[in-house]
Amino acid sequence: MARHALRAIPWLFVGLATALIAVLLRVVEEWPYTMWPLQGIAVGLLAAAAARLFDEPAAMVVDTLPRHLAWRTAARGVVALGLVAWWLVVVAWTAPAYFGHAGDVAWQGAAAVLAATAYVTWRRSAGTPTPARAAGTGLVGGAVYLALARPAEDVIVLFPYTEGGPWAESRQWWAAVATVGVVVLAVTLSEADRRRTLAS
Amino acid sequence: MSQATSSTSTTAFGALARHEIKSYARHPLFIIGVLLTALICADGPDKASSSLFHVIVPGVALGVFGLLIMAGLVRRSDKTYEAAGTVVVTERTRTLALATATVVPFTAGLLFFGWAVWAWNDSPPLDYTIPFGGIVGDGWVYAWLFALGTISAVGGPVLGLVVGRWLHFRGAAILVAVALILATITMQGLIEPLRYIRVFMPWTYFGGPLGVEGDADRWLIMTGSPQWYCAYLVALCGLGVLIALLHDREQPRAGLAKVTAGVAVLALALGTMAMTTGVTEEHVNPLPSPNAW
Repeated sequence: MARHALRAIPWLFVGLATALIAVLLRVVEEWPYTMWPLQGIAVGLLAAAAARLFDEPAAMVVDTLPRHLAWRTAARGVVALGLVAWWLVVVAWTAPAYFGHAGDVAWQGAAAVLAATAYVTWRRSAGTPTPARAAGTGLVGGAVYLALARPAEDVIVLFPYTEGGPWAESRQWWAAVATVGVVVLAVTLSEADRRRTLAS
Repeated sequence: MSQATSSTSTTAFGALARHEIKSYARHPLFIIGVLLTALICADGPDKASSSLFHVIVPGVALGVFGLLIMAGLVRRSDKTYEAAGTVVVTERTRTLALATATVVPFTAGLLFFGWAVWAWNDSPPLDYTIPFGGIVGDGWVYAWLFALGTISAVGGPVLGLVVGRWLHFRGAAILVAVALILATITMQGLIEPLRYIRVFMPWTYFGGPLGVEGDADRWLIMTGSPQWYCAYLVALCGLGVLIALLHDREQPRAGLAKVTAGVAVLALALGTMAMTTGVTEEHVNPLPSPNAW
């Protein structure tokens, strides 16, 4: 599994993304009131980095090999867990930035990674070789738009800020995101396993 | 032979340009960007500051999204080229065709500009915001709207063209987009020591509720000239296209490199003009913000 992950993952992108995430959150810590949008953008970048882990540019060959989707997802999922661990460490390091809600910010990142993993695994199981190209663009684009333009911020409560922000409501939003992620991932992997059993 | 190649290349350019324009216009992210921009316009101007700060939406939805779109189009163009085998269309021609596609977001940016100017005149800002005291005129406002709402719609895709040509690792466009936002947001005048030089960033405000001691939301007009800033941004766009064209190693590059250097110097000069002319010192609105009352 380790050898598969070592060869399959775009390490340059993942390395640069993790470094950039640390810089983004450090800047938020320095100027929390004015640089707050960077926190939401960091969540989008984290999710995009996680999505990229599961791309399979050589899918036409790899999908025919004995190592099935669940096995490959697990191998790369270890790195996704590493990304979440990195996120938790950086959030803990920059905890004063979050108006006493570092736990909520940590939860946002974990839920986003879970949902991104579920989506790209689902697309991979449907035969799309590199779903993260579009998904990563969508995740970062969406996070940038929501964080900077803040449209309908009373309704779409994904990135609250300041002490009085709707953090409890936001927690529910992210819980819904994570729940959908878990369900999609479980269904996708079990379905892929069932298909493999039937084929063999 | 050379003449035949040139003629074929010219013919191919027209066809390729039309193809890239259509591809850009049909890209889902562009359509989403246009819809988001249309939605903010439909919502109407802000009661206090009119349409001045609506520029953030085309800046993101046409500019930043455009960066991601264009990088993807470059990748697709390269894949098509590789799949086609030996063809006479040079990389430079394909790059120019891609650059031509920026006419699509530019048109969307122009429509936004038309709305923003109308909204500004139809619902002028309140006295405690900006502009105030006759320090700046309508030209200052229109240049602000054009620079941040229209030129940004071209600047993002041009940067995407540069990224697509020069950075070939997976996810490069995403990283550049986030890094660009990080650099830009720190240069909005929010960090006081960086306020004077902020106009060298490709997207920056010229005023806002930056606050003073005792009134955290007091409105200020910052230094700089948005008119010269427009010229600076146009030069940056030109510079970006030239840098993208320089990537083609199969064509002679010496002349193009000289032109690129010349445009870089011009951009630096225009940026300096944007920084040093226009409003030369910061002005604080004498009226307090509502939060201070």
